[in-house]
Amino acid sequence: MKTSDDALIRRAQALDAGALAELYDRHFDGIYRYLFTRVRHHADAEDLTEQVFLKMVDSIHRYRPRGVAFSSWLYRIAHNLLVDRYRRAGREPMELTDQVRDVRPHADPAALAQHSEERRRLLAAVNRLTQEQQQVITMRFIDNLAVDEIARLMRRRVGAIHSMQHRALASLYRFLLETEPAEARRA
Amino acid sequence: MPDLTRPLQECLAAMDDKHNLQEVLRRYPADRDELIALLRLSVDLGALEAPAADPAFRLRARNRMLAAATHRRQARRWNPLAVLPRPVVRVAYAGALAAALLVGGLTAAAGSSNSLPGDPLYGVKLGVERAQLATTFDSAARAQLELQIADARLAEAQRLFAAGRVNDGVRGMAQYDTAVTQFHQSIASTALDVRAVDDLSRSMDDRAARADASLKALAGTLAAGGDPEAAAAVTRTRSHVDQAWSGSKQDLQSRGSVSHPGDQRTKPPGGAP
Repeated sequence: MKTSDDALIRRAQALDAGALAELYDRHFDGIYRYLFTRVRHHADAEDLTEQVFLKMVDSIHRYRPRGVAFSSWLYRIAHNLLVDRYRRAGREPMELTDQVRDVRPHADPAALAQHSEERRRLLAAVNRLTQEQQQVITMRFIDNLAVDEIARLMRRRVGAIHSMQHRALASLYRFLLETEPAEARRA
Repeated sequence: MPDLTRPLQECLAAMDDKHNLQEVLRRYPADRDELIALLRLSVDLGALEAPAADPAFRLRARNRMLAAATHRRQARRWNPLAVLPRPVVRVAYAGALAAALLVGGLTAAAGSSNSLPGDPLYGVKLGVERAQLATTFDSAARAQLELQIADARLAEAQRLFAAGRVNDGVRGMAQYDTAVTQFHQSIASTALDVRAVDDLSRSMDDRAARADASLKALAGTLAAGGDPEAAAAVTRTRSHVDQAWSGSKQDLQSRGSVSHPGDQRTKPPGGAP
């Protein structure tokens, strides 16, 4: 599998249209979900996703197949574009996640507000993880990929993914405790 | 928090396979509460699921990407270096850069070492770093070089803040974050021998402690100086790099124990079997 991936990337580095389209099809859904999970806005997620793949075309000649996994390289581009966008807008990632809304029609306003606040805190905590941890968390718990599939995509050992998954959840838990409302701590 | 990697893995597998989770939890009574907290968190994360992208957008973006590739391919035809294999280009680039530096004057390169982003010689400084990376083929030496580059980015960011260039300082922090992540990703995908692992672990521990202390102090100074946004940016960088250092450390530790059983690690080179 690795050899065919490498061959595909070599063709893509020569700007072969078929290879680029194949890479796009393989990674589009993951990148879109990664970005949507952070910006929670269709138009923004679409704009950023498009930029990721244009950037891929621009800089794929610099990608080294023996270095990081290709998917990690793409996620890094997505992460950098996200950070650039926040910086240009002069605001922090957390502010964008304030726009998160629960649109379940049956939810009562109080529960809806509480759910929205919890989700905002969770997203804010996810944003504090490293890019690599965010990638693992997104793939594992949002995209529901199996650990061995994540290991293959990130070109890491299965044990390393398990370890990273634990570290990411433990960090998230710690971050959430730090921002837990005072009344919840007292309860 | 203790290392719950294995119990967590078993719990998640039980949830995935719809087996009895309580049975797994009973095996870890001391860690039960923490495991439940982490499992709840994993379920909460699942609720963040993103909807699928609009198929029309997916197709449009694909076509734009392919159009950009066609445009770039046509532009490449005028670049003779593009037809050479990548390693040859890399060596040619490094050689040309080295020759240019020699001919153009080593003075400029030396003078650039203290330059900051925005200075005329800063591009030379980055060029020298790229040339060093391009011509360092030993994995361990390359990793050490990446650590030094991360140090340089941190020092630059600190100097920018000290000079009152707060926005540049925040950008510098992002560059430092990127450099540490680059180091982390680089060692994660590189084969290293036991000695290199030990050397890197030591170098990394020193740096992590020093960087953490200086970032903490910097965030405090910025907050006290009435710049909470810059302080928050520094704190965020501190959190990111702290996790990257921890990840690298665990990665190196697991590398050492996986590829080299524990008893071999303590033996001197050439020691008795």
